[in-house]
Amino acid sequence: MAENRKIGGILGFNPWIWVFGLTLALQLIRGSWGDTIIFAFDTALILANELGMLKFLRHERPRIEKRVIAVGMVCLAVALSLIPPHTMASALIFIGLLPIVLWMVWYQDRGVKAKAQRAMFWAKVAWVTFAVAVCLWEYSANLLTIASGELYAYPTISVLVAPWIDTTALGRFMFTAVWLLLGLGFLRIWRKP
Amino acid sequence: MEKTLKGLTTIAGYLTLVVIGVTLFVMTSKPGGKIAPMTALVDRIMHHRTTRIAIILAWWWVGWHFMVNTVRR
Repeated sequence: MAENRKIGGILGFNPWIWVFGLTLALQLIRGSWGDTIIFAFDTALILANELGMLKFLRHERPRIEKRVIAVGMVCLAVALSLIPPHTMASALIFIGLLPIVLWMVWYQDRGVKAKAQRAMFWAKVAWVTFAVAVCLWEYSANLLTIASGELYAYPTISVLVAPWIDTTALGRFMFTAVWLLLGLGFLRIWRKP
Repeated sequence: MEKTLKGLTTIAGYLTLVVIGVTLFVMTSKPGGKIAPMTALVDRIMHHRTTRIAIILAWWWVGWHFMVNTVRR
């Protein structure tokens, strides 16, 4: 079993701790208590993992049959489309999903990470720049909304997308499908180990 | 009128970012270019458990945010 190698840090901490810590601070400023609890949990979980406090939870990468994943995804997409959003039922689905996806990514790192090629470096630069641009645009809209008190003068992504998700099952289905496919891509289930 | 213009400018910004993201994804999708495909980048960054946990938590929160949270500002 390979040792868990630490990646480069910022001021001695893994960059993800900073990302989640800063997001936690932003949620506090926004006064969104639900999100504050979620990001406090997330930050604590990442920190605990980095400090090696959760070693007892380590396991090998789970191999789940693709048809099980496909059936699970379809069931989830249909359930989340039909169940009204912002209800206890939708919250329970997400709360139930969280430990499953965490278990699927919690496996032990395997082998040594190969040295990055130049093309990989530029890919990282390009996508990080893009992600930062999206975050800055969204957060600027959020701050301007708070400052102006006008929800639609500077709409955030949530303000634009939420009515569409909230009012139609088709909107929920399309959002859920894209969201699940993105998750599937991150879990890399269809890729060879 | 001014409010509508501000709103449209903000939306135009999002659409521009979507176009840039899709263009970047498509133009870099073939291996061997100056910029590696995003799929190869995901494979690489998902090597470390901390990164895997962070990305899957962020992904989960996006779903929670839209399907469970009530959007308010």
